[in-house]
Amino acid sequence: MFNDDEGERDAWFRALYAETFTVLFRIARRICYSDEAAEDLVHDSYIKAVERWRIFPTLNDAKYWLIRVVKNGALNYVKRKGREQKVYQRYFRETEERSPSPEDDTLRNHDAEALKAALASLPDKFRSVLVLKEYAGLNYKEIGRVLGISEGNVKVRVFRAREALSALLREGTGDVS
Amino acid sequence: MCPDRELLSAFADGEVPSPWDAKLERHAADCPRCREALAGLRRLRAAFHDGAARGDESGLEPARGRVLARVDETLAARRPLRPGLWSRRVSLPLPAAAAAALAVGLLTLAWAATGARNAELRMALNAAPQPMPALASTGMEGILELIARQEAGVNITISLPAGAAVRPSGEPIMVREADFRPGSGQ
Repeated sequence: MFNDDEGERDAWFRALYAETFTVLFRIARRICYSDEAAEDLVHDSYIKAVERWRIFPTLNDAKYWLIRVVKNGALNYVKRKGREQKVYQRYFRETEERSPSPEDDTLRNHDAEALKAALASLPDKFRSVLVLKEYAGLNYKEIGRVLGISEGNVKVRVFRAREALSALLREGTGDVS
Repeated sequence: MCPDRELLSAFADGEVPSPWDAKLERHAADCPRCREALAGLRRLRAAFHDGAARGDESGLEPARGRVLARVDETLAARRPLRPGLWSRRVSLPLPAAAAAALAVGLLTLAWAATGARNAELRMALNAAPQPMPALASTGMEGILELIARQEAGVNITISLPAGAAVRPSGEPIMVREADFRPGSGQ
């Protein structure tokens, strides 16, 4: 049984969920390359948002805050996994080649593999703008709001990220640029 | 003159405002170098979306239901049980709480002080001497002699004999004050 406050909070959360789930899940999944990790991240981020739901003036404020939280959480997850991977490789004296994950199996296209590898090797600040632009579908103004930078800065970062990505793809076998 | 590659990147994202977007498009139509640069940018963008369109999004809808159920479950587990009448928290503004505490304190002090005084009075009443029997005495000398025989602190009531008539003599002070008039010399 909800009291009035909980009922109001529940309605707020349902509206936020309907508005944001797709974009949050895409961002988390594209950075983590794991459905399970993406679900955990998105779940934890919603709980954090609900805990402080009264501080958001509008649903949009909560949306951009959530995107930032999920993006940061996903980047931290990838760094942590990378460190764990190195530890295991050292322990088992494995080569530096990555063994394919179940998620990799779904990406059979060579260009997609090359893009994924190149994107993963970009610095965080470049990877973030490309993920927010291409997978979350945000415009420069919205990306600036999420990252706390100006639209002009977003334009420069997107451009430099694309230049770096194209260079990485040219170095490898992928030739999408 | 060709636009720089940064501007072409923004154009590929639809972020160049009017009328510059139309001018840039006309330029790219006539400039092989810019046309090729734009085509490269569009291929790069398409590579992102190809992955999504090829079934990469298949996990989205099942995840939507699972995450919602998990969030509901987590929130329900954190919801406190409905508090009973006596365990409910009552919030008061600080000044009101301070005033209430002060009032309770003052009432307690007043009650304690009254109780102590009543106890003293009760003790005094219990210790009070029994009234002396009435003595019939006539004449002022007899009364003075009776007083002289008593110890100090004794209360003596002098009453007139029943049926005695008292006749006032002289003029009562109230009447004199009522008759006073300024400047009359009285």
